[in-house]
Amino acid sequence: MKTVAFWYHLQIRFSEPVTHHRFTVRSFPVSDERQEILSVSQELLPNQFLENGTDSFGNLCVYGNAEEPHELFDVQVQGTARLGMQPWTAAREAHQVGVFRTQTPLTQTGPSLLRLFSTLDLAACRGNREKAEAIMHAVAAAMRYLPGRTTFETTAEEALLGGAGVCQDYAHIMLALCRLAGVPCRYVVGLLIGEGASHAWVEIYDDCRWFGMDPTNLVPVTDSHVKLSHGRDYNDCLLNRGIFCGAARQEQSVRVKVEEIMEPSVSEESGL
Amino acid sequence: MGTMDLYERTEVINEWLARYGVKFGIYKNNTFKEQLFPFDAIPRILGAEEFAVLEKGLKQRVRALNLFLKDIYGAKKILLDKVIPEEFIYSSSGYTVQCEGVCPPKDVFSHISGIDLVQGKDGEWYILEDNLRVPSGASYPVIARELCRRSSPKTFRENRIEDNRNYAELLSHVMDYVNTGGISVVLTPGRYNAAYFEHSFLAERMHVPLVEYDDLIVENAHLYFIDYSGKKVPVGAVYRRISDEYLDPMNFNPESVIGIPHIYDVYRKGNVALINAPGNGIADDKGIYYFVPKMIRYYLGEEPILKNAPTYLPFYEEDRKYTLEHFDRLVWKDVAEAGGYGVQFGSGMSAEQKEKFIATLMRCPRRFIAQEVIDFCDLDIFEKGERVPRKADLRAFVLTSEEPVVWKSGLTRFSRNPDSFIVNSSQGGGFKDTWILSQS
Repeated sequence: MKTVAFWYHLQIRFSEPVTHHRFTVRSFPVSDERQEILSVSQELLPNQFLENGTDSFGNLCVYGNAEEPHELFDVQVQGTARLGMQPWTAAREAHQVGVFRTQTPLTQTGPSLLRLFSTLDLAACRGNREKAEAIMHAVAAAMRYLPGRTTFETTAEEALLGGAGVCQDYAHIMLALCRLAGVPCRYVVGLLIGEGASHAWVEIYDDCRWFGMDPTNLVPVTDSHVKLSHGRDYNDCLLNRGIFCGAARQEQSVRVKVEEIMEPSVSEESGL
Repeated sequence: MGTMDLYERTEVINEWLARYGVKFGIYKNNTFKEQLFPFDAIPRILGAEEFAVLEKGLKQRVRALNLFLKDIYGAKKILLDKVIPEEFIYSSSGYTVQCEGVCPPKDVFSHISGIDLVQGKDGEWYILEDNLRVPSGASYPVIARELCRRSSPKTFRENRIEDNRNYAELLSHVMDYVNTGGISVVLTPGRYNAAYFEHSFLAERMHVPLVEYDDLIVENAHLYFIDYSGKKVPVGAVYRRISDEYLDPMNFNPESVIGIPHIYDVYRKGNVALINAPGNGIADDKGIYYFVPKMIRYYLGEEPILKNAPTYLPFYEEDRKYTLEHFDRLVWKDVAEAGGYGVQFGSGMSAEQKEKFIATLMRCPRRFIAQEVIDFCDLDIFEKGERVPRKADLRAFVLTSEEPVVWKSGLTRFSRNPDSFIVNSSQGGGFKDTWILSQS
């Protein structure tokens, strides 16, 4: 078990003022069996109209609009959390699991995935967790971590064919294989100790519990990951989705810091 | 029954329909064209007793479909009880994950259901498909009836026909029933939509604003209509004639420029009614159609009053075997297509087409259904002054508020091509009025 301070900062700079900006931000952690959010604060600019919501996966969202011209969109989320209280989170009722057994356009299988799947010996595995572990090792062995080779639109099949990618690709390949094996699984977006950007991993379903597995780092998810959201794939977990009027170029930066702290501290209300 | 007086005025009525703008738009080769919707004056006539059976059966079907939608996006009992296999839901393009756990105002999912039926030569009615997304067509018999009455009042004095001009009132009642507080509006994608005539006609008859995407705005948890003076008026019900996909770029297709950003978030909070509810596409799925009689037994504990056309799911091995053996006498439908597209007759395929089709079928059996070809009743139409028989179907409209109500009319569409079974207006068909007799 660890106690951490986390900080997530998203900035979009527009090359000229934009108007009629509508956005949905999905980057707010919630407490569950594995992680307890001790304190959290958020700051969003512009904040003319803001409203809280929850999506169909149970993720917290803040949505809103900014009609007036602006050149900067800025989201900061920070807080403290206790991690690894349990190595799992409780599954919502069993009837809501089926949707995570079905492939999505990003995890749709093709020849490369089917070939890799055929090399796996899952018959010897007991239960979903063992199957997923075997799959995770196969993904790690088949892929090289190499930023810049894939984009946010790359499918699991394409990434595996290229043999290289980032955490998102590792997660999608693992999801595709788990679903082929009949193991319900979901895509998770979050933050990781020591990582300067957002991270993605996988949760698999076993006996009414979700177990986190991080195929990029080849570790189970216990006390180093702060979870922000989950869904069927990347598209369900966009940290920010927006549209606006204006012919501006956008420059987006995401900065993340997660550090272990000794004492759980009270939220610093420094004008947030 | 004197109807000759009416038939003699067919041409005049069609001229009036053109003048009133009763047209539908289609895109062909990337150009937009407006086409007249040819009207044939010989009505489809349903006796009071025959209609009573249809009415009972349609209400039953719509009740079950509403319960199914509530269940699928909620507790999913029908899946847990294995009445419908899970993959038929989750792999359907009509299943909308954003609707999970969301219940529309007053639990009504399908406010307006367009149920397509045909009558077999044996007199038996068969359901062909359920349209629970954005069914169109009710406005055509309404305006045609008005023009027929005007051109031949005598016909309507001499025949006891249920008045069908109350459609807008029925629709207004549905909108008022689910309205969460605020005005009601009709949302159209604009004048290039195939059914724009209907959008404007219904808005006018209901005395509510006809709006496009930029007339509506979400602020915080509410939806507003921006009126001519710039004032923001709260909206409590939207009859949207725009598909789920384009409804809200923040929750559905992000490329949509005709949607209202965040309207779905307002709906999710219960602060506006969307008519029909998003997510209904799962009930329209041609694969799910197969299961509707099972749904009626499951949710209502009743035997279905109206029959489905005999349908096979190649997804099941037994059905696959049967359909491959009887390939040529079946009609094949792609579950992802609508509007008469993706329909192929086994007998009409060349050997090469058939081979290709079967290869696709074996790769994804879930994508197709096969149906026995129903030898359905022809209806007479006038062509160059002669009465000739043509294939025709009937779209019945069921409006649901406290209870489902079957509108006492319907859209009868016919194929103008004597060899064609496909009656969709987008494929060049025409329409008739549907008379329900008020006495037997």
